[in-house]
Amino acid sequence: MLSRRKFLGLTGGAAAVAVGGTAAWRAGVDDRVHDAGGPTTTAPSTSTSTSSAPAHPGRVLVVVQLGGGNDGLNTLVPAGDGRYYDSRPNLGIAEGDVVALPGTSGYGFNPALGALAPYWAQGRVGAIESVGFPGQSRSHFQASDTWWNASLDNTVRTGWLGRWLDAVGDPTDPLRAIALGSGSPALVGEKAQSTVVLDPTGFALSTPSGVDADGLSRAFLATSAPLSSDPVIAAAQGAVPGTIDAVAKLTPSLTDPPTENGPIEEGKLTTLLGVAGRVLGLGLGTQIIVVSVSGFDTHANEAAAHPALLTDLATGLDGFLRAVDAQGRTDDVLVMTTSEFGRRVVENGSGTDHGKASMALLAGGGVAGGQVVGQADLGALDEGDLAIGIDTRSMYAVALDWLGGPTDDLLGATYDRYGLLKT
Amino acid sequence: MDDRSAIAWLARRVGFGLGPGELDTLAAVGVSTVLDHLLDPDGHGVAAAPDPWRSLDLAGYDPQDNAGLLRRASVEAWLAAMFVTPRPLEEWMRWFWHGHFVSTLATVKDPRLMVAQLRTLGAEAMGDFRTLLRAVTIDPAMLVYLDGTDSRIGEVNENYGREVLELFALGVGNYAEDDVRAGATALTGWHVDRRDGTASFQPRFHDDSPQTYLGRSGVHDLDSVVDAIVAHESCAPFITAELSRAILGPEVDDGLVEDLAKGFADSGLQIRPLVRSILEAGIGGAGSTMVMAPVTWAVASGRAAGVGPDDLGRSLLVSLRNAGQVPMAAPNVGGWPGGRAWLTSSTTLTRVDLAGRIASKAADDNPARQAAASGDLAALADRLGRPSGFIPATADALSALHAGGDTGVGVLAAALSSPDLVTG
Repeated sequence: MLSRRKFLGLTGGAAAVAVGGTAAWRAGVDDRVHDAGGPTTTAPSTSTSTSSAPAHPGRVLVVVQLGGGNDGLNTLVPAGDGRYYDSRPNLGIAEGDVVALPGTSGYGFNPALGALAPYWAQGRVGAIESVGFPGQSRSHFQASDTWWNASLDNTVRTGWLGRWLDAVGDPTDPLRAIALGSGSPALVGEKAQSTVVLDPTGFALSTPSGVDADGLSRAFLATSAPLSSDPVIAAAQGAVPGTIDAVAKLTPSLTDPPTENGPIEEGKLTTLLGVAGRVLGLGLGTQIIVVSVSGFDTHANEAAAHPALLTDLATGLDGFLRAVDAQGRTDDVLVMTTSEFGRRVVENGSGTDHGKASMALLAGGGVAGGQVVGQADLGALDEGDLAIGIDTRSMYAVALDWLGGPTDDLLGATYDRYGLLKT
Repeated sequence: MDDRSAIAWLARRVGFGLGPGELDTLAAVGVSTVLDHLLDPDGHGVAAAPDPWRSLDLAGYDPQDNAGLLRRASVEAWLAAMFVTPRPLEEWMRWFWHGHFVSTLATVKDPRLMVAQLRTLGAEAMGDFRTLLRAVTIDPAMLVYLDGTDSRIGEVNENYGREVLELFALGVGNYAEDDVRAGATALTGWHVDRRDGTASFQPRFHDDSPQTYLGRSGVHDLDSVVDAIVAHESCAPFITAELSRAILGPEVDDGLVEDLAKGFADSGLQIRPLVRSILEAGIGGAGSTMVMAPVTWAVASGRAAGVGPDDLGRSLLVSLRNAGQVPMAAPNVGGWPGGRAWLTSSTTLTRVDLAGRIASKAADDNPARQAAASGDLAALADRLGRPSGFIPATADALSALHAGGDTGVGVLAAALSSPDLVTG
């Protein structure tokens, strides 16, 4: 039988040396490891070659990715607009059912987001309407790439957050950015390392009984150097020290693995945002957490599926914001939702097909909340979709400002912030 | 590549590794014969592969009662078959198409439908691509997964219509938005009966109006849609590139893919000769190092150590979930991302964990375990399917572990999860 025990008594020092020594492997490796063909190009704006210290080291950005294309119109409902109900005879959320958002031009939350209403009233949650990346595709994968890379150029291989990690602070610290639920291409940089926790209940190691666990972990770490001349093997070597570091430091924030879970459970926002709150409590200097779930591709059965997804989102955000409050970090944390596209305005019967603009939520003590910025113009559709009114990069500018920038350098231009942060 | 290395390469890239002694046996007959047996097992008297799900009582499926058990059993039965299949290439091709024509248990829910789809993918895996694509298009699990069953005249659902072009047959950029709509319209009227899991065509829900689709006029039904897709100039290059990258690595030479695609098109989209050409190119050195996917790595590791799914029990499936790759549970319609995604902290950690479990179950007389115990690293690497040996970092690490008095379990575990074995 196997005994469950913490992997490694290795000190952070030993792991840290190896992490530092592996920075070099990345440069030559990405071409070989990355799936896509084609030449590597740099970011839209080339990041500075030397890292600077973060301007706000205590601040945290949490990105909540609603994979599949969230139906913005059924999330932030334009309940004052009859055209919405004309387009959604089966799926429209009745005006009497929405959670009214006073001070907006007739918008209301889907009732499944009811848990967010108090935060809205306190000005800690706000919304952006008609957000999207001009020219983005209706393909999940193209649109996702565009959002992650903040570029329509599909040869760009770094993500908008990876470029910030490269430019600011120590890009080789794998705990500065953590992806929960799935990996996040937004975190990919030229040098930036990050930690991926697919399933928090499984992020732990057993070692076989009768084996010297420390010896085994030392051997595992030793396989990371010297680097092989084969860049793919070198990449596998490079993954070792960061993993050792992450397991040693993150395990306290993760629950013990249940053994009865089925194999097909997906990461749920409530669980993952609970982990995010505990990770912040560890004080590891984590500045970015990307939480990803899927299921928002509601082509069919949307009337049942979408409210369940939104309930999970609202419950998760509520719990996370409470955890942040309890840590006394209300004003340190900014939460932002993303999704690759919105959905067609006219329903297809039981669901909605791929569209263009959608909506996003912002939450946190620093948010100028209680307002909807932008509007869903149902009188000026783009090929049947909500037209893009606010550039995704405006949202990213707000996030990068929050982290301390250099925002305009990283985005390659200046985008309107729409007053989304308190001044 | 010498025969021994070539056979080990084939086992990694288009199989599920090698059992104890198997590399010796196959090297004795030579790579040319091995290739013939892989590609044409019927013609060379290779035993038939039993259906992986033959022992499951799928007919007794009851969504209110045993759904979870049967779903899990369906996944475990397939994994178990990967350990013992006498026809590894056929099973690997089913696995490849499963990652290409994605459907998931989480969405489909009914394991009868997923198993039926996998049987279809297996039966058509190396035959005619048009036959395969047609079968997939009206496969009940696919009709559920991509919402064809909900698509009817006046309520056209675009989900399958888009993904068949983008992900299954042509690739993004090779069709227009109007084609998505036209194809979806021509495919209306197919319906899955959830009670018995069968698909049928219901003319009253079908929009038979002629569509202009991929430059053809008059497209109006299943066969005319499939004909238009397979006749499109991007179909052969797209499928060839997908299969070539899966076998040879993501950086495969564009000129080679063009040549292979031309052969595939000239053959009338016959898959078996395409696979042969790709494998011959790989043996000739056209491949590059890849990161092993968790499923193929786990099965290959277990086989080399003589450890099967029964020995590992539930931990095999739990490990694969933690590593991010459970059969029938791809993250989305695009399938598993591969490459760098298999080097994340979660996947790396899980491989170490499972390697420890596998090593601790290896019998004392397992050849890899014996080599690990004696510290004979050249023999250990060979018995793990790496006849050219370990990289210096791994060799040094294993030597130190052996010198510290390890019984062989630790050395075997560290070897299985080493950067050498994680790639290949």
